[in-house]
Amino acid sequence: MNPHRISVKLYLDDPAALDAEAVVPPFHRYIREDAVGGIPIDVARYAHVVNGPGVLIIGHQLDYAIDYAEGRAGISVTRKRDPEGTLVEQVRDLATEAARLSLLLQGEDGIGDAGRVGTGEALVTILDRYEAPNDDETLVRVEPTLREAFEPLSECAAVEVTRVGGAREPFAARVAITAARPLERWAEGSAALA
Amino acid sequence: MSTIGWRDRLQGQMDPELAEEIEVFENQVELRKDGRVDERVFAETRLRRGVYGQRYDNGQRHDGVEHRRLEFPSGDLTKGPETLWDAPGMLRIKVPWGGLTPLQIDVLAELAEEYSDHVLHVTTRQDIQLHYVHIEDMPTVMRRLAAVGMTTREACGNGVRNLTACPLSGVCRTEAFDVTPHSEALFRFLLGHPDCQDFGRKFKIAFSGCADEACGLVMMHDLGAIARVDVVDGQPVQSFDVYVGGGLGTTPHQAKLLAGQVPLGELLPTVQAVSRVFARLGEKQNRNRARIKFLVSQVGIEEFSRLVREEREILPYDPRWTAHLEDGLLPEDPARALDTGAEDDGADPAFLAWRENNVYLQRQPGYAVVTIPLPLGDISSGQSRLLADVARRFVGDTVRTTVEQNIVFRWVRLEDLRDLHAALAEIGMADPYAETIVDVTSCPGTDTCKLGISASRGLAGELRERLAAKSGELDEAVKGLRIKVSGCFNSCGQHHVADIGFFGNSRKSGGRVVPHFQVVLGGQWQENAGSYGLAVGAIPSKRIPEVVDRITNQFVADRLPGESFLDWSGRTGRKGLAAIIEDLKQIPEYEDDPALFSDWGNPREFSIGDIGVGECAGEVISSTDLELSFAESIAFEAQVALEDGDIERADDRAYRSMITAARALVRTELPDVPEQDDVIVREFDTRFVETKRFQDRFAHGKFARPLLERHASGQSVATEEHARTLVEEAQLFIDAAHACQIRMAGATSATQ
Repeated sequence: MNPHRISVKLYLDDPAALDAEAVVPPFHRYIREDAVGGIPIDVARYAHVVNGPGVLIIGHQLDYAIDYAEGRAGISVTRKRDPEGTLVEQVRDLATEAARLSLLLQGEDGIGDAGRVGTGEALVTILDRYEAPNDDETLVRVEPTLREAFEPLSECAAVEVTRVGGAREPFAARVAITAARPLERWAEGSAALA
Repeated sequence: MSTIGWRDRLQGQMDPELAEEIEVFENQVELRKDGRVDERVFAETRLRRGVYGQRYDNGQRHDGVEHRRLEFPSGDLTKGPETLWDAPGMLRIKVPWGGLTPLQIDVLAELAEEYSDHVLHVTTRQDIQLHYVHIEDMPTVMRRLAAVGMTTREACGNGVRNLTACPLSGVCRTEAFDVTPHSEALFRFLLGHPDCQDFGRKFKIAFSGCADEACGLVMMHDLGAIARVDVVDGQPVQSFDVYVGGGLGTTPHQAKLLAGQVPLGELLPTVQAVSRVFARLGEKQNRNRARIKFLVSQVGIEEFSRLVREEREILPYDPRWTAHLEDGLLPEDPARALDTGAEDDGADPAFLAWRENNVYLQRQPGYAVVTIPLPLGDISSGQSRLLADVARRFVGDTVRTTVEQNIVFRWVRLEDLRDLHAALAEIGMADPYAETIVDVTSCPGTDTCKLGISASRGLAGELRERLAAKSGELDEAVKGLRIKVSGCFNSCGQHHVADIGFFGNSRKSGGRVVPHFQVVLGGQWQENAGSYGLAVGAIPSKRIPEVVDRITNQFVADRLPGESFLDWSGRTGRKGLAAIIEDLKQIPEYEDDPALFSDWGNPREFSIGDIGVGECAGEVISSTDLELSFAESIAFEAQVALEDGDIERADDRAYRSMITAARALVRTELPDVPEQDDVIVREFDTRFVETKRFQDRFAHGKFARPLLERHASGQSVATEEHARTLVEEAQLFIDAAHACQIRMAGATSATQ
């Protein structure tokens, strides 16, 4: 499978604590300081849209967002173009990027712990209805990839994958990670976890 | 993979003409990547398919400290002058008269997720825009749209843009008659029409059901039609008053009456005649003077009307002019039959507030139109899907977008209002502010537009938030006012026709640039945008909320009983209005108020260095250039077919590419050249071969021969060798057509 776009979302521990608009200044600075991956272009603000994409760093290859879709706030990273490595590596890299962004935000004055995401749960979305319609067949094809991607992020290699959403929505799988490694380990990337 | 997959999967689901259009565009994307199409020709090609550039697409962005280059993987490859290939762009999707179905909304949501940023943006002309889309994804997006009857064709560029109409058409209590079927017929008629391919600038059309309400905003359009009914011999007779030459921008014009009481069957030929006059006489070189308003102004409306009448007389008959009348004008049906027709008027305050502002009683008893406000015209993909479900449940296919960037549901049963409100509240779409001062309209501004000077969306969002917070305390006279914001003087936010309008500009202070908005007061929304507001002074962006407070407070304090904002601002006068906000113009030292030196929603220190070259005007490319470019695309298809071993198709495409190129040349002298191959070849032979104008200095008549021989043979030879030869000859034929055009242009300029 070579999907058009893939996204990984990690959920904020305390969604009410984070004002989406508070990330706008640091997001602009991350672009200036090349603190995020790919070629970041600009910041898009959609905090006014209920359950929308929130505030994003729009990039050529990657979008980073404080994301309010499905009514749950989280940090999502989407691979849009120029994928590198296997699908397993791509998914794990996106989880790594989301973890890194969380750590960056936690270091910001005025944000701190409000930027912290949990590591016990991730949402993987494949934004390609041609390659990956949201059905059980896709789940069967994708589940081994997701297990392989997330098992190293668990102390005991224990993950559970469940399909979420209906047929009109993009394929999405919720990955529950038992005894998840700390966020800092996630942020170290594939090499450190291998 | 999914690109090819979608193309194969959607075969047969698309209108063949649109499918062909998209195929051609996809080929041109490939040709441009190979450097085989000139960047200006490609730019106009994509613009005419709704594919716009976006801010920073020249690869430069000011990051608040300095300008930085965006190092895209495709390097210096461009998709237009100063427009890098990899830079994300905008796709504008036409929504004629704002009509949408739940299925179309579902597909739009899918596309926003897979190719854009999960947001659908409703524009001030009832279109929908997707932002941050890569050029190489566009053909697939277009195919998926075409499969549900939607198109991006001529959504930008120098052609007929989306056709707008009052969202209440057909259900309005004051309209003369339903303009929807006429606007649909005109939209289909003009889409891709040869007479609309050689404009010097864009051309916007609007329909209105009556003269008095705001409706279609006819008076600010290039062309507009207002419905009327007169009693003749005791019988009601429907017709249109047709207006021409309106427009906003830096030099706003009110449209003038071109022809009154135009019979229904004469509407399409009248508009066609206007198009031909505009194409023939409109300015082509100076894009700042190329809108039809300048032509009308220059020759005068009487002379313009005479030219149109003269042109109408010589138009070749077209059965499409009246086909929609003969087929019968199908009325829209409610999705749910009335039960009791009685409204449940319970006492829930949230419901009551919503009903007061968002519900309009239709002229059909028992039904209402419900407006669903979209903040800044935005709706997320997830919300869109949920909204489509709500539409399916309550109103079926009767959804429309509005020029105030909202969505309306028509044919809501009064007894369903409470349930509909609850369903909308559940998905966060029951804001009770429709068509009030809270419901601020804005163009994209500096968020995504290359021309934006100030952050119109940032300001609109800020005003919306502040006004919503105090909506309960607002005076009734203020509640119904309209605020509209444009990011620059080009008026995409329609600030001229708002009670309180703003457009972005900037001022220098102490070596720094400060974002400002010009304040425009007293525009008229009613009477189809009957008059434009007065500019009363530029104020720093961050002080605009204070401007709104002062102006509205002064209005409430000063107004005479029953006096409108329009009348009050006229009575107060420009000088009096300016005095209310005069002190806000003062710019302090940077150190005293650094916040004033950045714009709303954007912490970067303000800069106008990101302003690019606008593409609204399109590229001034002749229709001959475009048609020859089209011929090249078909020749490219022939090459691909040959490589795939599809000999018959290769032969057909090669022949077709030569016919297209020949037609391009013939059309320079015979604008109404028919589509029949026999006629095209005969005219080409007579005008260009026999006169030796197609002859090359060295090859003489060699390049014309393949077309003449292939046409004379009447059928495909269909051997690989012959097909290969024909494919090569087709490319040479097109090259010769280009050379011929250049020689002709040289001869023309030499005689001028």
